Amino acid sequence: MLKGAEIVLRCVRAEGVDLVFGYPGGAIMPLYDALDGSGVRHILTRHEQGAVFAAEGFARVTGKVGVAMATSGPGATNLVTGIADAKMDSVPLVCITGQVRTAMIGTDAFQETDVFGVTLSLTKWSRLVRTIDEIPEVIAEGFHWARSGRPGPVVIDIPTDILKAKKEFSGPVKFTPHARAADATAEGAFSDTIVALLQRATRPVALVGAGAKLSGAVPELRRLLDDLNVPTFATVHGLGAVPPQSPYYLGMVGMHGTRQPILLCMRPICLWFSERGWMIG
Amino acid sequence: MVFGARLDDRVTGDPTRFAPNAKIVHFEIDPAQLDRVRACELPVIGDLAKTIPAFHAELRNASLPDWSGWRAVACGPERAELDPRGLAQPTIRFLDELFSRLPQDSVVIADVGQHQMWAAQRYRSSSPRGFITSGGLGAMGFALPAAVGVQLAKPETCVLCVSGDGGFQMNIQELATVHRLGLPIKVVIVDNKYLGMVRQWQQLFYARNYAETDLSDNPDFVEIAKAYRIHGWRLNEAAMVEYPVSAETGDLIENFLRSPGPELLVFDCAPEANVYPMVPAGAALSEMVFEDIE
Repeated sequence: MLKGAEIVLRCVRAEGVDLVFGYPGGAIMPLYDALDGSGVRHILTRHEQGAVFAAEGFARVTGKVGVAMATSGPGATNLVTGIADAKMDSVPLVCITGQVRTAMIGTDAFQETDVFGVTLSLTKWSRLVRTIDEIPEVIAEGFHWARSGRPGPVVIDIPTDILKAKKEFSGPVKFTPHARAADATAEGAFSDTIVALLQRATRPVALVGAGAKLSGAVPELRRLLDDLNVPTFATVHGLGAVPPQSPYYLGMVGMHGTRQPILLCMRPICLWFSERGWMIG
Repeated sequence: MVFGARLDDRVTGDPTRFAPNAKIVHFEIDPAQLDRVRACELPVIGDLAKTIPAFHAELRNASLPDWSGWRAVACGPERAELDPRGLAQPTIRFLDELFSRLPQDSVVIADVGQHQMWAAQRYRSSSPRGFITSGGLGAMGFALPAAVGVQLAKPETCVLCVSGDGGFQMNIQELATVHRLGLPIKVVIVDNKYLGMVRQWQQLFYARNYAETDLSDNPDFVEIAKAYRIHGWRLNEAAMVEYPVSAETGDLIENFLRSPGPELLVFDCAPEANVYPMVPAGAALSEMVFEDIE
Protein backbone atom coordinates (compact mmCIF):
# COMPACT_ATOMS: atom_id res chain seq x y z
CA MET A 1 0.00 0.00 0.00
CA LEU A 2 1.27 3.47 -0.87
CA LYS A 3 -0.04 6.89 0.04
CA GLY A 4 -1.38 9.12 -2.71
CA ALA A 5 1.56 11.46 -2.13
CA GLU A 6 4.05 8.61 -2.66
CA ILE A 7 2.23 7.57 -5.84
CA VAL A 8 2.42 11.16 -7.11
CA LEU A 9 6.17 11.29 -6.51
CA ARG A 10 6.79 7.86 -8.08
CA CYS A 11 4.84 8.89 -11.17
CA VAL A 12 6.64 12.23 -11.36
CA ARG A 13 9.98 10.40 -10.99
CA ALA A 14 8.92 8.05 -13.81
CA GLU A 15 8.53 11.10 -16.05
CA GLY A 16 12.26 11.68 -15.65
CA VAL A 17 11.95 14.38 -13.01
CA ASP A 18 14.58 14.54 -10.27
CA LEU A 19 14.33 18.24 -9.43
CA VAL A 20 11.28 20.23 -8.34
CA PHE A 21 10.83 23.74 -6.97
CA GLY A 22 8.27 24.71 -4.36
CA TYR A 23 7.05 26.08 -1.09
CA PRO A 24 5.26 23.99 1.56
CA GLY A 25 1.94 24.66 3.25
CA GLY A 26 -1.06 22.97 4.83
CA ALA A 27 -2.82 21.13 2.03
CA ILE A 28 0.40 20.02 0.28
CA MET A 29 2.07 18.75 3.48
CA PRO A 30 1.53 15.05 2.72
CA LEU A 31 3.53 15.48 -0.50
CA TYR A 32 6.37 17.19 1.40
CA ASP A 33 6.23 14.43 4.00
CA ALA A 34 6.86 11.88 1.25
CA LEU A 35 9.80 13.73 -0.41
CA ASP A 36 12.54 11.99 1.60
CA GLY A 37 13.76 8.94 -0.27
CA SER A 38 11.56 9.63 -3.29
CA GLY A 39 14.51 10.36 -5.57
CA VAL A 40 13.07 13.81 -6.21
CA ARG A 41 15.17 16.73 -5.01
CA HIS A 42 13.16 19.69 -3.80
CA ILE A 43 14.45 23.26 -3.94
CA LEU A 44 12.88 25.59 -1.42
CA THR A 45 12.40 29.05 -2.88
CA ARG A 46 11.22 31.92 -0.69
CA HIS A 47 7.99 32.62 -2.58
CA GLU A 48 5.86 30.45 -4.87
CA GLN A 49 6.46 32.86 -7.78
CA GLY A 50 10.17 32.18 -7.26
CA ALA A 51 9.43 28.44 -7.50
CA VAL A 52 7.49 28.64 -10.72
CA PHE A 53 10.01 30.99 -12.38
CA ALA A 54 12.87 28.72 -11.27
CA ALA A 55 11.02 25.73 -12.77
CA GLU A 56 10.65 27.77 -15.95
CA GLY A 57 14.34 28.63 -15.96
CA PHE A 58 15.16 24.92 -15.64
CA ALA A 59 12.71 24.07 -18.44
CA ARG A 60 13.82 26.85 -20.78
CA VAL A 61 17.50 25.95 -20.57
CA THR A 62 17.10 22.14 -20.72
CA GLY A 63 13.95 21.71 -22.82
CA LYS A 64 12.69 19.28 -20.15
CA VAL A 65 9.51 19.75 -18.12
CA GLY A 66 9.91 22.09 -15.13
CA VAL A 67 7.94 21.19 -12.01
CA ALA A 68 6.66 23.59 -9.33
CA MET A 69 4.77 22.67 -6.16
CA ALA A 70 2.65 24.84 -3.91
CA THR A 71 -0.10 24.56 -1.37
CA SER A 72 -3.75 25.50 -1.85
CA GLY A 73 -5.14 29.04 -1.80
CA PRO A 74 -2.39 31.69 -1.62
CA GLY A 75 0.31 29.17 -2.56
CA ALA A 76 -1.51 28.28 -5.76
CA THR A 77 -2.51 31.83 -6.67
CA ASN A 78 1.13 32.87 -6.29
CA LEU A 79 1.92 30.45 -9.15
CA VAL A 80 -0.48 32.11 -11.56
CA THR A 81 1.95 34.65 -13.07
CA GLY A 82 4.43 31.88 -13.87
CA ILE A 83 1.69 29.75 -15.44
CA ALA A 84 0.68 32.65 -17.68
CA ASP A 85 4.35 33.20 -18.51
CA ALA A 86 4.83 29.56 -19.53
CA LYS A 87 1.74 29.75 -21.74
CA MET A 88 2.96 32.84 -23.57
CA ASP A 89 6.49 31.55 -24.19
CA SER A 90 5.62 27.85 -24.75
CA VAL A 91 7.51 26.52 -21.73
CA PRO A 92 6.86 22.92 -20.61
CA LEU A 93 5.70 23.26 -16.99
CA VAL A 94 3.78 21.07 -14.54
CA CYS A 95 2.41 22.72 -11.39
CA ILE A 96 1.25 20.44 -8.63
CA THR A 97 -0.93 22.16 -6.06
CA GLY A 98 -2.46 20.93 -2.85
CA GLN A 99 -6.20 21.45 -2.47
CA VAL A 100 -8.45 21.36 0.61
CA ARG A 101 -9.87 17.95 1.33
CA THR A 102 -12.54 16.74 -1.08
CA ALA A 103 -15.42 17.07 1.40
CA MET A 104 -14.59 20.74 2.03
CA ILE A 105 -14.33 21.84 -1.64
CA GLY A 106 -16.82 24.63 -2.30
CA THR A 107 -17.28 25.60 1.35
CA ASP A 108 -14.81 28.51 1.41
CA ALA A 109 -12.62 26.34 3.58
CA PHE A 110 -9.34 27.69 5.01
CA GLN A 111 -6.91 28.40 2.14
CA GLU A 112 -9.42 27.21 -0.45
CA THR A 113 -9.23 28.64 -3.98
CA ASP A 114 -10.69 27.17 -7.15
CA VAL A 115 -7.25 26.76 -8.71
CA PHE A 116 -8.57 24.70 -11.60
CA GLY A 117 -11.00 27.51 -12.43
CA VAL A 118 -8.52 30.32 -11.85
CA THR A 119 -5.91 28.78 -14.15
CA LEU A 120 -8.27 27.33 -16.76
CA SER A 121 -7.65 30.00 -19.37
CA LEU A 122 -3.90 29.98 -18.70
CA THR A 123 -3.13 26.29 -18.91
CA LYS A 124 -2.68 23.98 -21.84
CA TRP A 125 -4.27 21.21 -19.77
CA SER A 126 -5.39 20.96 -16.15
CA ARG A 127 -7.12 18.56 -13.81
CA LEU A 128 -8.56 18.44 -10.31
CA VAL A 129 -7.77 14.93 -9.09
CA ARG A 130 -10.92 13.31 -7.74
CA THR A 131 -9.79 9.83 -6.69
CA ILE A 132 -6.51 8.22 -5.68
CA ASP A 133 -7.01 5.72 -8.50
CA GLU A 134 -6.61 8.28 -11.26
CA ILE A 135 -3.29 9.75 -10.01
CA PRO A 136 -1.02 7.74 -12.38
CA GLU A 137 -3.12 8.52 -15.47
CA VAL A 138 -3.45 12.20 -14.58
CA ILE A 139 0.30 12.65 -13.99
CA ALA A 140 1.20 10.79 -17.19
CA GLU A 141 -1.29 12.76 -19.27
CA GLY A 142 -0.28 16.08 -17.67
CA PHE A 143 3.41 15.57 -18.50
CA HIS A 144 2.49 14.47 -22.00
CA TRP A 145 0.61 17.67 -22.75
CA ALA A 146 3.21 19.87 -21.08
CA ARG A 147 5.98 18.67 -23.40
CA SER A 148 4.18 17.60 -26.57
CA GLY A 149 3.58 19.71 -29.66
CA ARG A 150 3.71 23.35 -28.65
CA PRO A 151 4.88 23.02 -25.02
CA GLY A 152 2.92 24.74 -22.27
CA PRO A 153 1.76 24.80 -18.64
CA VAL A 154 -0.24 22.10 -16.89
CA VAL A 155 -1.90 22.32 -13.47
CA ILE A 156 -2.64 19.24 -11.38
CA ASP A 157 -4.64 20.11 -8.26
CA ILE A 158 -4.77 17.34 -5.63
CA PRO A 159 -6.98 17.45 -2.52
CA THR A 160 -5.09 16.70 0.65
CA ASP A 161 -7.24 13.67 1.59
CA ILE A 162 -6.29 12.04 -1.72
CA LEU A 163 -2.59 12.66 -0.96
CA LYS A 164 -3.08 10.95 2.41
CA ALA A 165 -5.24 8.01 1.21
CA LYS A 166 -3.62 4.62 0.58
CA LYS A 167 -3.84 2.24 -2.32
CA GLU A 168 -2.09 -0.72 -3.92
CA PHE A 169 0.20 0.79 -6.53
CA SER A 170 0.98 -1.19 -9.64
CA GLY A 171 3.44 1.32 -11.09
CA PRO A 172 3.42 4.42 -13.26
CA VAL A 173 1.50 4.32 -16.53
CA LYS A 174 2.24 5.68 -19.98
CA PHE A 175 -0.14 8.07 -21.68
CA THR A 176 -1.02 7.22 -25.26
CA PRO A 177 -2.77 10.00 -27.10
CA HIS A 178 -5.52 9.16 -29.55
CA ALA A 179 -4.08 8.03 -32.85
CA ARG A 180 -4.39 10.66 -35.54
CA ALA A 181 -3.30 11.07 -39.11
CA ALA A 182 0.39 11.81 -39.47
CA ASP A 183 1.33 15.46 -39.96
CA ALA A 184 0.41 15.45 -43.62
CA THR A 185 1.94 18.88 -44.11
CA ALA A 186 5.21 17.80 -42.53
CA GLU A 187 5.73 15.17 -45.18
CA GLY A 188 4.00 17.19 -47.86
CA ALA A 189 5.40 18.53 -51.04
CA PHE A 190 6.91 21.99 -51.09
CA SER A 191 7.66 22.25 -54.82
CA ASP A 192 4.28 23.67 -55.73
CA THR A 193 4.08 25.97 -52.74
CA ILE A 194 7.06 27.57 -51.01
CA VAL A 195 9.60 26.71 -53.66
CA ALA A 196 7.30 28.18 -56.28
CA LEU A 197 6.82 31.30 -54.18
CA LEU A 198 10.56 31.65 -53.70
CA GLN A 199 11.20 31.27 -57.39
CA ARG A 200 9.03 34.32 -57.95
CA ALA A 201 10.43 36.25 -54.97
CA THR A 202 12.63 39.25 -55.56
CA ARG A 203 13.34 40.24 -51.95
CA PRO A 204 12.93 37.18 -49.71
CA VAL A 205 13.58 37.44 -45.97
CA ALA A 206 13.46 34.94 -43.10
CA LEU A 207 12.22 35.61 -39.56
CA VAL A 208 13.25 33.10 -36.90
CA GLY A 209 11.39 32.63 -33.60
CA ALA A 210 11.59 30.15 -30.76
CA GLY A 211 10.01 27.31 -32.75
CA ALA A 212 13.22 25.78 -34.06
CA LYS A 213 14.70 25.68 -30.56
CA LEU A 214 11.57 24.10 -29.14
CA SER A 215 11.59 21.49 -31.90
CA GLY A 216 15.30 20.78 -31.56
CA ALA A 217 15.56 21.78 -35.23
CA VAL A 218 18.31 24.40 -34.87
CA PRO A 219 20.93 22.45 -36.92
CA GLU A 220 18.37 21.79 -39.66
CA LEU A 221 17.33 25.44 -39.63
CA ARG A 222 20.93 26.64 -39.83
CA ARG A 223 21.65 24.33 -42.75
CA LEU A 224 18.54 25.58 -44.53
CA LEU A 225 19.36 29.23 -43.91
CA ASP A 226 22.98 28.73 -45.02
CA ASP A 227 21.70 27.33 -48.30
CA LEU A 228 18.96 29.92 -48.71
CA ASN A 229 21.34 32.76 -47.86
CA VAL A 230 18.57 35.35 -47.61
CA PRO A 231 18.44 38.31 -45.19
CA THR A 232 17.42 36.80 -41.86
CA PHE A 233 16.40 38.21 -38.50
CA ALA A 234 15.15 36.86 -35.19
CA THR A 235 12.57 37.61 -32.53
CA VAL A 236 13.77 37.99 -28.94
CA HIS A 237 13.11 34.27 -28.38
CA GLY A 238 14.81 33.44 -31.66
CA LEU A 239 18.14 34.92 -30.45
CA GLY A 240 20.86 32.29 -30.63
CA ALA A 241 19.11 30.14 -33.23
CA VAL A 242 21.04 31.84 -36.03
CA PRO A 243 24.76 32.44 -35.44
CA PRO A 244 25.13 36.25 -35.33
CA GLN A 245 28.26 36.08 -37.47
CA SER A 246 26.29 34.64 -40.40
CA PRO A 247 26.65 37.16 -43.24
CA TYR A 248 22.90 37.21 -43.87
CA TYR A 249 21.93 37.77 -40.22
CA LEU A 250 20.56 41.21 -39.38
CA GLY A 251 19.70 41.01 -35.69
CA MET A 252 16.49 41.33 -33.74
CA VAL A 253 13.18 42.47 -35.13
CA GLY A 254 10.40 44.32 -33.33
CA MET A 255 9.69 47.21 -31.01
CA HIS A 256 13.32 47.56 -29.93
CA GLY A 257 14.88 45.69 -32.79
CA THR A 258 17.57 46.82 -35.15
CA ARG A 259 16.60 48.96 -38.08
CA GLN A 260 17.36 46.72 -41.02
CA PRO A 261 14.85 43.91 -40.38
CA ILE A 262 12.17 46.43 -39.71
CA LEU A 263 12.67 48.31 -42.91
CA LEU A 264 13.01 45.14 -44.92
CA CYS A 265 9.55 44.13 -43.69
CA MET A 266 7.98 47.17 -45.25
CA ARG A 267 7.62 47.81 -48.91
CA PRO A 268 10.04 50.61 -49.55
CA ILE A 269 9.54 52.62 -52.66
CA CYS A 270 13.23 53.20 -52.57
CA LEU A 271 15.90 52.53 -49.99
CA TRP A 272 18.83 54.79 -49.44
CA PHE A 273 21.63 54.78 -46.98
CA SER A 274 22.75 57.79 -44.99
CA GLU A 275 24.66 58.36 -41.78
CA ARG A 276 21.34 57.83 -39.98
CA GLY A 277 20.89 54.38 -41.47
CA TRP A 278 18.28 53.03 -43.80
CA MET A 279 15.63 55.47 -44.81
CA ILE A 280 12.41 54.93 -46.66
CA GLY A 281 11.65 57.24 -49.50
CA MET B 1 9.45 32.89 -44.46
CA VAL B 2 8.63 32.78 -40.76
CA PHE B 3 10.15 29.90 -38.79
CA GLY B 4 8.44 29.23 -35.47
CA ALA B 5 7.62 32.81 -34.49
CA ARG B 6 4.10 33.83 -33.48
CA LEU B 7 4.17 37.25 -35.19
CA ASP B 8 2.75 39.00 -32.13
CA ASP B 9 2.21 42.75 -31.79
CA ARG B 10 5.71 43.42 -30.45
CA VAL B 11 7.17 41.97 -33.65
CA THR B 12 4.77 43.43 -36.20
CA GLY B 13 3.84 46.85 -34.81
CA ASP B 14 0.65 48.00 -36.54
CA PRO B 15 -0.33 44.74 -38.27
CA THR B 16 -2.17 46.46 -41.11
CA ARG B 17 1.10 48.12 -42.07
CA PHE B 18 3.40 45.15 -41.41
CA ALA B 19 4.83 43.78 -44.62
CA PRO B 20 1.61 44.73 -46.44
CA ASN B 21 2.80 43.50 -49.81
CA ALA B 22 4.65 40.43 -48.64
CA LYS B 23 3.60 36.86 -49.11
CA ILE B 24 4.17 35.18 -45.77
CA VAL B 25 5.05 31.50 -45.42
CA HIS B 26 4.46 30.60 -41.78
CA PHE B 27 6.15 27.48 -40.35
CA GLU B 28 4.24 26.86 -37.12
CA ILE B 29 3.38 23.92 -34.88
CA ASP B 30 0.23 25.42 -33.38
CA PRO B 31 -2.47 26.13 -35.97
CA ALA B 32 -4.23 28.39 -33.43
CA GLN B 33 -1.35 30.85 -33.79
CA LEU B 34 -1.88 31.41 -37.51
CA ASP B 35 -3.47 34.57 -38.89
CA ARG B 36 -3.96 36.11 -35.43
CA VAL B 37 -2.20 39.38 -36.08
CA ARG B 38 -1.05 39.19 -39.68
CA ALA B 39 -2.59 36.57 -41.93
CA CYS B 40 -0.14 34.37 -43.79
CA GLU B 41 -0.44 33.36 -47.39
CA LEU B 42 0.98 29.89 -46.90
CA PRO B 43 0.91 28.03 -43.57
CA VAL B 44 3.23 25.07 -42.99
CA ILE B 45 1.79 23.29 -39.99
CA GLY B 46 3.96 20.86 -38.09
CA ASP B 47 7.05 20.28 -36.01
CA LEU B 48 9.91 22.31 -37.45
CA ALA B 49 12.18 19.32 -36.91
CA LYS B 50 10.14 17.64 -39.67
CA THR B 51 8.97 20.48 -41.86
CA ILE B 52 12.33 22.21 -42.26
CA PRO B 53 14.26 19.13 -43.48
CA ALA B 54 11.36 18.18 -45.79
CA PHE B 55 11.34 21.67 -47.29
CA HIS B 56 15.12 21.76 -47.50
CA ALA B 57 15.26 18.43 -49.31
CA GLU B 58 12.90 19.64 -52.01
CA LEU B 59 14.68 22.93 -52.28
CA ARG B 60 17.88 21.18 -53.33
CA ASN B 61 16.21 20.07 -56.57
CA ALA B 62 14.89 23.51 -57.39
CA SER B 63 16.73 26.34 -59.06
CA LEU B 64 16.22 29.63 -57.25
CA PRO B 65 16.61 33.16 -58.58
CA ASP B 66 19.84 35.05 -58.11
CA TRP B 67 19.26 37.20 -55.05
CA SER B 68 22.76 38.62 -54.79
CA GLY B 69 21.60 42.16 -55.62
CA TRP B 70 18.97 42.03 -52.92
CA ARG B 71 21.47 40.55 -50.48
CA ALA B 72 23.91 43.33 -51.16
CA VAL B 73 21.26 45.95 -50.40
CA ALA B 74 19.85 44.23 -47.33
CA CYS B 75 23.04 42.90 -45.71
CA GLY B 76 25.22 45.70 -46.91
CA PRO B 77 27.25 48.27 -45.05
CA GLU B 78 25.25 48.56 -41.86
CA ARG B 79 24.66 45.30 -40.02
CA ALA B 80 23.19 45.12 -36.56
CA GLU B 81 26.40 44.97 -34.53
CA LEU B 82 27.77 48.03 -36.26
CA ASP B 83 25.02 50.30 -34.96
CA PRO B 84 27.05 53.26 -33.66
CA ARG B 85 24.14 55.02 -31.99
CA GLY B 86 23.56 52.04 -29.74
CA LEU B 87 27.17 51.85 -28.68
CA ALA B 88 27.21 55.45 -27.53
CA GLN B 89 25.10 54.42 -24.54
CA PRO B 90 27.14 53.49 -21.44
CA THR B 91 24.83 50.68 -20.27
CA ILE B 92 25.03 49.09 -23.70
CA ARG B 93 28.81 49.44 -23.62
CA PHE B 94 28.81 47.81 -20.22
CA LEU B 95 26.67 44.91 -21.44
CA ASP B 96 28.94 44.52 -24.50
CA GLU B 97 31.96 44.46 -22.17
CA LEU B 98 30.25 41.89 -19.93
CA PHE B 99 28.99 39.68 -22.76
CA SER B 100 32.36 39.74 -24.55
CA ARG B 101 34.01 38.33 -21.43
CA LEU B 102 31.48 35.53 -20.88
CA PRO B 103 32.71 31.99 -21.41
CA GLN B 104 31.17 30.22 -24.39
CA ASP B 105 27.81 28.57 -23.73
CA SER B 106 27.04 30.91 -20.87
CA VAL B 107 23.37 31.54 -20.20
CA VAL B 108 22.05 35.09 -19.91
CA ILE B 109 18.73 35.58 -18.12
CA ALA B 110 17.16 39.00 -18.50
CA ASP B 111 14.33 40.41 -16.42
CA VAL B 112 11.75 42.78 -17.90
CA GLY B 113 12.32 46.38 -18.89
CA GLN B 114 14.97 48.57 -20.49
CA HIS B 115 17.89 46.39 -19.40
CA GLN B 116 16.12 43.42 -21.03
CA MET B 117 15.97 45.14 -24.40
CA TRP B 118 19.53 46.43 -24.13
CA ALA B 119 20.65 42.90 -23.29
CA ALA B 120 18.66 41.42 -26.18
CA GLN B 121 20.09 44.03 -28.55
CA ARG B 122 23.66 43.24 -27.54
CA TYR B 123 23.39 39.45 -27.08
CA ARG B 124 25.95 37.97 -29.44
CA SER B 125 26.05 34.25 -28.75
CA SER B 126 24.89 31.44 -31.01
CA SER B 127 23.86 29.25 -28.11
CA PRO B 128 20.21 28.37 -28.84
CA ARG B 129 19.09 28.20 -25.21
CA GLY B 130 21.53 30.85 -24.07
CA PHE B 131 19.21 33.84 -23.77
CA ILE B 132 16.22 33.42 -21.47
CA THR B 133 13.61 36.03 -20.73
CA SER B 134 9.92 36.53 -20.06
CA GLY B 135 9.03 37.67 -23.56
CA GLY B 136 5.34 37.21 -24.11
CA LEU B 137 4.07 38.04 -20.64
CA GLY B 138 6.76 40.48 -19.57
CA ALA B 139 6.65 39.40 -15.94
CA MET B 140 8.96 41.54 -13.80
CA GLY B 141 10.76 39.50 -11.15
CA PHE B 142 11.39 36.63 -13.56
CA ALA B 143 15.16 36.74 -13.86
CA LEU B 144 16.54 35.91 -10.42
CA PRO B 145 14.40 32.82 -9.74
CA ALA B 146 14.75 31.71 -13.37
CA ALA B 147 18.53 31.95 -12.95
CA VAL B 148 18.22 29.64 -9.93
CA GLY B 149 16.52 27.04 -12.14
CA VAL B 150 19.07 27.49 -14.92
CA GLN B 151 22.07 27.18 -12.59
CA LEU B 152 20.65 24.02 -10.98
CA ALA B 153 20.12 22.52 -14.43
CA LYS B 154 23.62 23.58 -15.57
CA PRO B 155 25.88 23.58 -12.50
CA GLU B 156 29.08 24.04 -14.57
CA THR B 157 27.75 26.85 -16.74
CA CYS B 158 28.29 30.56 -16.22
CA VAL B 159 24.83 31.99 -15.47
CA LEU B 160 24.43 35.76 -15.78
CA CYS B 161 21.22 37.30 -14.46
CA VAL B 162 20.59 40.84 -15.72
CA SER B 163 17.85 42.64 -13.86
CA GLY B 164 16.59 46.16 -13.25
CA ASP B 165 16.15 47.82 -9.89
CA GLY B 166 12.35 47.44 -10.14
CA GLY B 167 12.13 43.82 -11.23
CA PHE B 168 14.91 42.71 -8.90
CA GLN B 169 12.85 43.83 -5.91
CA MET B 170 9.89 41.75 -7.05
CA ASN B 171 11.65 38.48 -6.18
CA ILE B 172 14.53 39.79 -4.09
CA GLN B 173 13.84 37.08 -1.50
CA GLU B 174 15.35 34.46 -3.81
CA LEU B 175 18.80 35.73 -2.82
CA ALA B 176 18.20 33.47 0.18
CA THR B 177 17.80 30.49 -2.16
CA VAL B 178 20.96 31.48 -4.05
CA HIS B 179 22.85 31.71 -0.76
CA ARG B 180 21.60 28.44 0.70
CA LEU B 181 22.45 26.46 -2.42
CA GLY B 182 25.70 28.39 -3.01
CA LEU B 183 24.72 28.89 -6.65
CA PRO B 184 27.48 30.82 -8.46
CA ILE B 185 24.97 33.06 -10.25
CA LYS B 186 26.26 36.45 -11.36
CA VAL B 187 23.55 39.03 -10.79
CA VAL B 188 23.71 42.43 -12.46
CA ILE B 189 21.27 45.15 -11.43
CA VAL B 190 21.06 47.97 -13.94
CA ASP B 191 20.02 50.61 -11.42
CA ASN B 192 18.55 53.76 -12.97
CA LYS B 193 16.36 54.41 -9.94
CA TYR B 194 13.23 54.40 -12.06
CA LEU B 195 10.80 51.91 -13.52
CA GLY B 196 12.73 52.82 -16.61
CA MET B 197 10.68 51.43 -19.46
CA VAL B 198 7.46 52.93 -18.11
CA ARG B 199 9.33 56.18 -17.42
CA GLN B 200 10.58 56.18 -21.01
CA TRP B 201 6.97 55.92 -22.25
CA GLN B 202 5.92 58.66 -19.84
CA GLN B 203 8.69 60.82 -21.23
CA LEU B 204 7.79 60.16 -24.85
CA PHE B 205 4.01 59.85 -24.74
CA TYR B 206 2.81 61.36 -21.44
CA ALA B 207 4.60 64.72 -21.38
CA ARG B 208 7.22 63.62 -18.83
CA ASN B 209 4.62 63.01 -16.13
CA TYR B 210 6.69 60.46 -14.18
CA ALA B 211 3.72 59.25 -12.16
CA GLU B 212 4.82 56.62 -9.60
CA THR B 213 7.85 55.44 -11.53
CA ASP B 214 10.39 57.22 -9.32
CA LEU B 215 12.56 54.79 -7.33
CA SER B 216 15.19 57.36 -6.33
CA ASP B 217 15.14 56.16 -2.71
CA ASN B 218 16.06 52.60 -3.66
CA PRO B 219 17.84 50.60 -0.97
CA ASP B 220 21.58 50.02 -1.28
CA PHE B 221 21.58 46.73 -3.17
CA VAL B 222 25.18 45.98 -2.23
CA GLU B 223 24.17 46.16 1.43
CA ILE B 224 21.11 44.02 0.70
CA ALA B 225 23.37 41.42 -0.91
CA LYS B 226 25.65 41.55 2.11
CA ALA B 227 22.69 40.90 4.40
CA TYR B 228 22.02 37.73 2.39
CA ARG B 229 25.76 36.92 2.74
CA ILE B 230 26.37 37.51 -0.96
CA HIS B 231 29.31 39.61 -2.10
CA GLY B 232 28.41 42.85 -3.86
CA TRP B 233 30.12 45.21 -6.32
CA ARG B 234 29.32 48.64 -7.60
CA LEU B 235 30.18 50.18 -10.94
CA ASN B 236 29.19 53.63 -12.12
CA GLU B 237 28.44 54.20 -15.77
CA ALA B 238 31.15 56.89 -15.78
CA ALA B 239 33.59 53.95 -15.89
CA MET B 240 32.30 53.14 -19.37
CA VAL B 241 33.28 56.48 -20.91
CA GLU B 242 36.80 55.25 -21.53
CA TYR B 243 37.16 52.88 -24.47
CA PRO B 244 38.69 50.43 -24.11
CA VAL B 245 37.78 50.39 -20.43
CA SER B 246 40.47 51.02 -17.82
CA ALA B 247 42.39 48.08 -16.42
CA GLU B 248 40.65 48.67 -13.10
CA THR B 249 37.16 48.39 -14.62
CA GLY B 250 38.22 45.42 -16.71
CA ASP B 251 39.56 43.66 -13.61
CA LEU B 252 36.38 44.38 -11.69
CA ILE B 253 34.22 42.85 -14.41
CA GLU B 254 36.60 39.93 -14.80
CA ASN B 255 36.70 39.21 -11.04
CA PHE B 256 32.92 39.50 -10.86
CA LEU B 257 32.46 36.95 -13.64
CA ARG B 258 35.23 34.53 -12.58
CA SER B 259 34.31 34.32 -8.90
CA PRO B 260 33.44 30.76 -7.85
CA GLY B 261 30.48 31.94 -5.77
CA PRO B 262 27.38 34.07 -6.15
CA GLU B 263 28.06 37.73 -6.90
CA LEU B 264 25.90 40.80 -7.28
CA LEU B 265 26.95 43.88 -9.24
CA VAL B 266 25.05 47.16 -9.16
CA PHE B 267 25.55 49.18 -12.32
CA ASP B 268 24.55 52.80 -11.71
CA CYS B 269 22.90 53.94 -14.90
CA ALA B 270 21.75 57.42 -15.94
CA PRO B 271 18.16 57.87 -14.69
CA GLU B 272 16.82 58.99 -18.04
CA ALA B 273 18.63 56.67 -20.43
CA ASN B 274 16.29 55.38 -23.12
CA VAL B 275 16.10 52.26 -25.25
CA TYR B 276 16.44 52.94 -28.94
CA PRO B 277 15.52 52.10 -31.57
CA MET B 278 11.87 52.01 -30.55
CA VAL B 279 8.62 51.57 -32.40
CA PRO B 280 5.81 53.29 -30.47
CA ALA B 281 3.00 50.87 -29.56
CA GLY B 282 0.48 50.60 -32.36
CA ALA B 283 2.71 52.44 -34.82
CA ALA B 284 4.03 50.93 -38.00
CA LEU B 285 7.58 49.59 -37.98
CA SER B 286 8.53 52.36 -40.41
CA GLU B 287 7.72 54.91 -37.68
CA MET B 288 10.68 53.73 -35.63
CA VAL B 289 12.23 56.30 -33.30
CA PHE B 290 16.02 56.40 -33.10
CA GLU B 291 16.82 59.05 -30.51
CA ASP B 292 15.40 61.50 -27.99
CA ILE B 293 13.24 64.14 -29.62
CA GLU B 294 12.49 67.10 -27.42
